[in-house]
Amino acid sequence: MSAPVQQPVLVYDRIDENRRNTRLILVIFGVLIFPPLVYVSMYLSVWVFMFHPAFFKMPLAQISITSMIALATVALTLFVHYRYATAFALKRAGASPLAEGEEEEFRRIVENLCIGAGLPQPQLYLADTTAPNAFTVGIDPEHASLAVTRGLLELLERRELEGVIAHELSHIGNHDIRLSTIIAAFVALLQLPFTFYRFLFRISRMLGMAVLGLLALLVLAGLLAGLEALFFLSDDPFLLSLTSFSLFMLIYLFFLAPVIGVLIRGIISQERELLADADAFLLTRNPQALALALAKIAGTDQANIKNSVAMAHLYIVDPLPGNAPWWDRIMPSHPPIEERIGELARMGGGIPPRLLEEAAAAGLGHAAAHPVGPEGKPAAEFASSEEQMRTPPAGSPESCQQSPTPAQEKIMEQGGRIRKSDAGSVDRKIRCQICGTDQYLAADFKCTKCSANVSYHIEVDSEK
Amino acid sequence: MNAVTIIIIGVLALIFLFAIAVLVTYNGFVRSRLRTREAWSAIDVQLKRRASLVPSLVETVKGYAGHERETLEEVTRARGALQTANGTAETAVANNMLTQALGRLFALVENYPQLRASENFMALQKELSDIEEKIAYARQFYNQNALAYNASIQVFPQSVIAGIFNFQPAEFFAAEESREDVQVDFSRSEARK
Repeated sequence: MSAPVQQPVLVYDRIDENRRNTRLILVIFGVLIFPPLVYVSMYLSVWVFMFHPAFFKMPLAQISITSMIALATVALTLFVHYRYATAFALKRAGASPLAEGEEEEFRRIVENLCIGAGLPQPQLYLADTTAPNAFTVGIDPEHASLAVTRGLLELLERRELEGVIAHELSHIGNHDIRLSTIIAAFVALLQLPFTFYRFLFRISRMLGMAVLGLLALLVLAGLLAGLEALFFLSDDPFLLSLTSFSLFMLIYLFFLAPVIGVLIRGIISQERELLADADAFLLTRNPQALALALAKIAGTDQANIKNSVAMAHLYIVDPLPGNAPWWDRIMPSHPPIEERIGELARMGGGIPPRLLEEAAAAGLGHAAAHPVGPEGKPAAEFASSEEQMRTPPAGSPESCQQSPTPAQEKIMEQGGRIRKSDAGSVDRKIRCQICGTDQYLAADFKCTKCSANVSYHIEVDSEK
Repeated sequence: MNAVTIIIIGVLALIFLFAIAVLVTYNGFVRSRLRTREAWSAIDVQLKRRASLVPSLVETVKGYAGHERETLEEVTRARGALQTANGTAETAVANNMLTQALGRLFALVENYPQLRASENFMALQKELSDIEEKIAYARQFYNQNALAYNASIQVFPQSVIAGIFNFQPAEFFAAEESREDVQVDFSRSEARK
């Protein structure tokens, strides 16, 4: 999946490519949705009209009525997701329109890059969170919105911000946004039973358990029907096929379909991400800045933004938190950041690893200075996480695994380990990462000397 | 149906296909040329904005450093040349002249701390440097489109059709200095900060 960047590619070719992609996606998702549609129609026709005397006389009419109901549900879900995708995404990310005269530099960068890309100005939005991330939504370039977080504006230098915005504008120019919106709608549709089930569980555990029990009963019934069909030849093929079909459909609706949806999304979206990186390079002619920006964002390790899984592929880096359930992470919407940095380095003829390490360290410092606030991960979750700080991904995969950042090297020389500050670190002597004072940390995680927020600290092994 | 009819039908079909191919190619050229012109208008807008700012800049500088006549006159002359320039290449040359003249003017201003501190001047300088960057981006977009258009009318089978309908290649908007070098240096120094 290497992006073709040897010669300038006009945006118009990308758009044609995306039209083909969109058609392909529509067909694939149509095929995916067909079996549950048939199933739901059959199912409804049995249960809704079971006690109706006319049922056994004209089952075909019933099925056509119920299949219309099922089709209408699908169409409505897709339409709502497609039509209101922009509003949903912006609202869930907590983004509000950028006021006139606010963040002048950001506005100017967008203006300039739009001229370079031959695009109309998108609507600008700002999400007031420290997590550094950015995304674009919309249907076409004339109705596109670009949202950035305050964390991103604070973290990045001008040239780096330019790289990130160029990446996002490339999504707009390539008409990725329409494809993304369609994919988001389909992924949401395929996950609908699953989402609905989780929603029930969230309302009350009892309700969730009850529905789970009901489903288990259905599975059992399906099994029994299957066994019955094996041993005693049943004389009602319609009901029989329906029950065995139920078994398959349960697995399909709650398991296969959501996963397949996310898989397809991942394949397409990963390709589009690499293309947008390549186009950002063509636009800014500065692959290093974007690579450094990615290294910085990765270094903070807190790019996660509260948003629905179906929209994860709209962002510049994956907004899903690291502790997301496995079914959401089975196929990431973005290629690994190391791979993207590697591609950019290849285009730009190499990037000094030292710069990448510094960028990752800057990201780590930003994360330490701005612990995730109320908008991001809840404080309780933050405090309970006991995982040891990972080495921030810096540059090429080798440097990610082998060489830690200079800041961390220094710490390791002193025999310490970087840890996330949590409740367990209160009765242990620690070293503040900002000013280097050894101390017992107060319960509010404030350094006693420099009163910085100690969200990361160095464990001092000598005293216990 | 005898052999002659079949041959006639075949020839007619071939002519028909050929006509369609010509039509599609011709439309492609027109579309490509339109895009190039549209991209040019983006440059034009910025050039006009730039030219319109120059008189107030000259006025402001005159107030503090009126005796630097030569440089100021050069700037005014370059602006006039830009406004009367015709065609891409001529405009590019005039624009580069203005860039150089403005560069000299800004270098000169370093000797006048009062002028440098003047709010009016600072606003103008900021705006001009912003426009310069916008011109650079617009130029990049224009040259990309011009390249695609020129390539499409100059490769072999299409070049015949382009010749018949007299499609002229677009001129590139040349930059005098290489912007890339400046940028790389800039980002490095920023990253070290």
